[in-house]
Amino acid sequence: MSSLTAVIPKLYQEYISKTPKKLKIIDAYLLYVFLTAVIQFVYCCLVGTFPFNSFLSGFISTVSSFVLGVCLRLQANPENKNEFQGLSAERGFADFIFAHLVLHIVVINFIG
Amino acid sequence: MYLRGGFLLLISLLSVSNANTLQGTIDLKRLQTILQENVKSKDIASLYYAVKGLALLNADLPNVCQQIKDFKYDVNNIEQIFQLTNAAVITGCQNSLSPDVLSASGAVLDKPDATIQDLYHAVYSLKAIGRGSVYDKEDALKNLIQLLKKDDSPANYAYVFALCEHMGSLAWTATHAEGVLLAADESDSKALHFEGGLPVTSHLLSTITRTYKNLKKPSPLSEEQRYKFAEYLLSRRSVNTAKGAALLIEAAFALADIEPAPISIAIKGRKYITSEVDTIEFSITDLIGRPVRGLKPDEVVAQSGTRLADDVVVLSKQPLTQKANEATTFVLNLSKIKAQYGLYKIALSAGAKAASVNVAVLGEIQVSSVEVGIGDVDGTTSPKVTTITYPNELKETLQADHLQKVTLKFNVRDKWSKPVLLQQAFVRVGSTSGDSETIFVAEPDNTKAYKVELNVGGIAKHLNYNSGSYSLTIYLGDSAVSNPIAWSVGEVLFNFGKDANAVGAALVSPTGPHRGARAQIAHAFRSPEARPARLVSDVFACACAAPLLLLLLLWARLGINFGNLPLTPSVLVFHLALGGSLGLYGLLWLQLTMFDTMRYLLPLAAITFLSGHRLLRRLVKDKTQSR
Repeated sequence: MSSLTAVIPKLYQEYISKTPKKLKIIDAYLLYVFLTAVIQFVYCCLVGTFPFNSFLSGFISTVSSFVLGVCLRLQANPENKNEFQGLSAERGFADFIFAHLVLHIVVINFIG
Repeated sequence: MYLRGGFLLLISLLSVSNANTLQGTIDLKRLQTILQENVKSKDIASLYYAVKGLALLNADLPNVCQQIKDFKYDVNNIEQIFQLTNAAVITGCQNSLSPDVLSASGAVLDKPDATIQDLYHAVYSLKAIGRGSVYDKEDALKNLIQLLKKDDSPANYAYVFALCEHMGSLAWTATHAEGVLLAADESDSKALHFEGGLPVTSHLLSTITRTYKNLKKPSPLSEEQRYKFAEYLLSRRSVNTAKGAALLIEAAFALADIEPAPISIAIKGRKYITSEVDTIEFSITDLIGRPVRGLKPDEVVAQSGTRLADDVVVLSKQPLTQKANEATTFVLNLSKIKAQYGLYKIALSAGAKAASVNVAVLGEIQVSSVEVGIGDVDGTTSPKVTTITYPNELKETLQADHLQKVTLKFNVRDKWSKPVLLQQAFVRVGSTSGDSETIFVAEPDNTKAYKVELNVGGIAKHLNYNSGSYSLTIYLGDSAVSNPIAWSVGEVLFNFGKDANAVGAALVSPTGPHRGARAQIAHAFRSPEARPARLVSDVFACACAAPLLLLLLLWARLGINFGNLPLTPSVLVFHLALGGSLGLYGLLWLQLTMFDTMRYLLPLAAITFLSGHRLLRRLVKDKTQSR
């Protein structure tokens, strides 16, 4: 237990100092999307799923956004450069934008 | 001849056992009334037949001489002259006749082409005014035989026989009568008549009978023929013209005078007995209601009596007693069988004749109480039984739904409290408000207890699935029961369940193929569930927006900046186009259709792509250049 209390501040320090600023921005975005999903889920548990399609589209929207965000983070991470030879972070961002446009037209169509 | 007579006797003996008796008589009183009404008729034929019939009945004849004098007649119509002259003779008014009837009749006799009918009318007209001897016997008969060869109808034979009677050629009649009788038509194998109906039949029967009587010979009619002719006359007893009445009387007298005459055995009055009146009266007469000649009262015996239901013999060889002052009425006492009601067949014999009649013994039935039970169809619970005593009704209204059944149990007893079976035992279920009803048959079990089970779910379709109040009525009856019972037991509230009126409405709709437009089917969306309170919704809307605030805060802390943003038109265009696309999504959500959205989205997406590509390429180029 003492090691755990020692590890967490260390981990935080490491994250603050070693993570590039761009990734922190993406992480903030991911946290935002995650919290939104959690609040929707809490609402669903407390009040009910009606109307179900609205809840589902909202929840799917957040989950998908989170996945897309994670993908963008993977591509933008300099440490993964070798994995994405010839694919720049800008290309990843363009894919991110495109995927979001496609995702949200579906979400809007489904929301009713 | 003796041989022949013996043969006839044999035939008649054989037919004794076979021939039925008659079951009715000819009402002479009614016929006499008809005749008396027609005496004052302005029609020669009606008058003639009226006075002829009245003369046969030995009734008082009115004075019609003035009428006969005033009649306008056609001298060339020999039939009218025949009727006029004969009516005058019967009423003794010969003096009222004018002389031209004589010349008219003589003219017919001289005519070469006179028919047999004309000859008959002419000769009998002459006979009526005392000139009958004009007709020569020898030549005339030859002439008649020649005419008969042309047309040998029964009607012509009747006229020839009558003419023979006038001429005294009775032997000729005797040799031909049997042949003519064989030519009679049979209907339903029980009645005989001649072609031409009642006039010809009556004329032939009376002429032949008279002739044989004069010859002092037994009648040529066999027993069977007599009964069959009598049946025919009975079938015509509802005549209502003077002609019909007179002819019927003439023929009936002819048949009734033959020895032995056909006899009639019929029930007089009641055809049933009850416990109070236990005698049946029979009238045994000849065809015209006279006592049967030569019938001794002790020859009238009820040979046997059997119950129709089970063929049990209940009486045998019981003599009937002749009623005092009424020679034709015989009384049978049935007090022995009055205890058991039902239909009985009684075989009567009167001398050599036998007849069987059906007699009903009416009994009284009683029903003391009925048990009305209401229980579940599956029999899991014991039924709730209510007992009602006759003739009361249920005090409260019972209730039964489609999962229950109503059972009615009752016993029917006779006067001596013995359980009996009935021909008819029903339970009627009738709506107290509408006119729908259905009737169920109550079936007896081994102990003669009647039971009806009304499965409420099952009877719903007979009552159009209309739940509501229904009355129960028990009907008990039998052809041998003097007090049929209709007992209203009470009311039951039937509930036919949830398919009650929906299905009922479908049943009421007209049958047959449906043509034309059907009613539009409106799609019913699922009804919305209860929404949460406005406050809760608002709180959660804010909660969903809160992370956005957190995001902006975090980004601000991270020191986000737009310093790297190149100031080129493509930046502006890209952001505007991307914002436009997202705004379009908002419009799609609020009001646009997908097709409209795609139409607007395609150019926007193209602009976004081009400007975005341009922007990002520039960023990459800047980055590589800075390295």
